[in-house]
Amino acid sequence: MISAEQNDFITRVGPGTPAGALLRRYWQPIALVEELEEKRPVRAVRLMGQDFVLFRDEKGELGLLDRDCPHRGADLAFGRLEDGGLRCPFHGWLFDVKGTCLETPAEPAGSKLCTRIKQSAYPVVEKSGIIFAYIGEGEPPAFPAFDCFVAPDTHVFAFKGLFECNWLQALEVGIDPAHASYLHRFFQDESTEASYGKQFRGASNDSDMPITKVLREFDRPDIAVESADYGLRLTSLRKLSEESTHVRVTNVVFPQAFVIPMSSEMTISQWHVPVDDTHCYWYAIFTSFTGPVNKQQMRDQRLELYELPDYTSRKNKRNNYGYNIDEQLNETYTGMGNDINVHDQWAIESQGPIQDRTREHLGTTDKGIIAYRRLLVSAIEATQAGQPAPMLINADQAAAFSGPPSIDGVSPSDRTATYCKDADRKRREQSSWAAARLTD
Amino acid sequence: MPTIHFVLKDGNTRSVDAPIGQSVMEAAILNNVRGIDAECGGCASCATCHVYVDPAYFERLPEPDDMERELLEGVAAERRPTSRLSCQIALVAELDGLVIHVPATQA
Ligand code: FES
Ligand code: FES
Ligand SMILES: [Fe+2]
Repeated sequence: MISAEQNDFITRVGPGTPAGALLRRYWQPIALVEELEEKRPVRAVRLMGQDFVLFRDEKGELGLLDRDCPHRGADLAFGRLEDGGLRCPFHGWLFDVKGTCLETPAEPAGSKLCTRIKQSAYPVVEKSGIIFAYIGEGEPPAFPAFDCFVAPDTHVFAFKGLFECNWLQALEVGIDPAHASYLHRFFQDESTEASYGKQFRGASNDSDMPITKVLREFDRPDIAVESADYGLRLTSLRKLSEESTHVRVTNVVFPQAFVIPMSSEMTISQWHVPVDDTHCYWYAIFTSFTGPVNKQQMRDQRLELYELPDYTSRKNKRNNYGYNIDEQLNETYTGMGNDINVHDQWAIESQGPIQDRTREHLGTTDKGIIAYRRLLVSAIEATQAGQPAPMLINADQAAAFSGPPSIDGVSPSDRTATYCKDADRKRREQSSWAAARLTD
Repeated sequence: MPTIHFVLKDGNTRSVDAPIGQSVMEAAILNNVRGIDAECGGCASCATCHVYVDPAYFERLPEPDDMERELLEGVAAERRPTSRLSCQIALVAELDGLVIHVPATQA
């Protein structure tokens, strides 16, 4: 439980807010690369309550500009892509990807107005299918050499989806290892063969036990939280018998991402990115350690739930998330279908547009959430004091990162302490691209 | 934050505190000081942010550039030796207490 003031302090991220100042010190996902693959590569995007226009010029270069035309404020997202930039349809002012004004065609010949006009422009880069933007001051930090950024393009797939709630409660579901035994419970186990591309449907590593069964029958995980150079590492143990214990290791990457196992072959690196204070996108990179990702299948699976162009969920509070009484009685814990993304979406959206944390009561399974909020508050305060915050790294520091290891598997009960390291090592040795980075 | 005293057309004074780095024009507009129009938004092309800088402060300002000098030729109100375009005056700590006289007209 926290005060209303403290809740605002950690959730609100508009321009000028303390938490907003912190998040603006980091690269933030702003669109999927696939969103600019259409006939006209121009998108309106909103990040932390600020509006921008993202576009690719005729040479293929990416630009991110403030969305309102500096002339009289018309919407540049309707601009014409021509003559080396984006042209405002109102009076034809033309801007390049750096925000430089190239033409003000209605002004008298010889006018110098253009030379004094500059639209704010922000750095953007493409990484593993996501376009990241930096809208903060000064130099952006380097990208850590995590698996999701170093795997070849064939082995990564990116997607996103909208949640109609504050970003922080969305992140806090990802660092809550206990909920999977309840929220994502299936009363019957599917064949694990049909589990490609889905979370919590395959078999745990080093076993043939479906994860659905582990989660359902062993529902009191023993959770440990450790701090790591990138944020937090959470280890959840579910003791299956005297001999074997299920181990699940997930990570929080400061400030807003987690890296978790999806299946034995893939991990999910997921950001929760504020659109404004009451909407956020999840952006995920699925990274395969075995063969290339079947991107078409992964995309088609997700498009069953998510609708273009804004990646909105077809199941939402306006249709009760597809809730069905009989299904809740007989098949799933929620009665909201088999897609666990819908379960998570319901859980966090039902907490309200911005969860009122003055009314919550945290338990021992919430220790990851508590540890994360401590990190967050101290980083916001450090930012206010003009001091460093975690993961504001330079290129040398970035190169030293890897992983972070995220594992779901069954370990001999007496070797759980080293299981993650061993299983991660084994997975890397067998992976064409990850093996190359092993040092010893 | 430096304080700027704007002497208005009616003789009254409005004092505003403005952050270092902001222009005198921005400080006026953001605080709704009347008499400074700034049509072009500070890109030195409209001359409607014309002001008279109090002599005590005038010497402390960096010289106007060519663009500003050219525009000062065409200000709407009387051109005086202390005329400047307020969008070209950036606030620095030494300008604390700056006194600015708003001209009779900008158009
Ligand atoms: S508003 Fe954009 S050119 Fe006039
Ligand atoms: S605001 Fe237009 S010249 Fe100063
Ligand atoms: Fe979940």
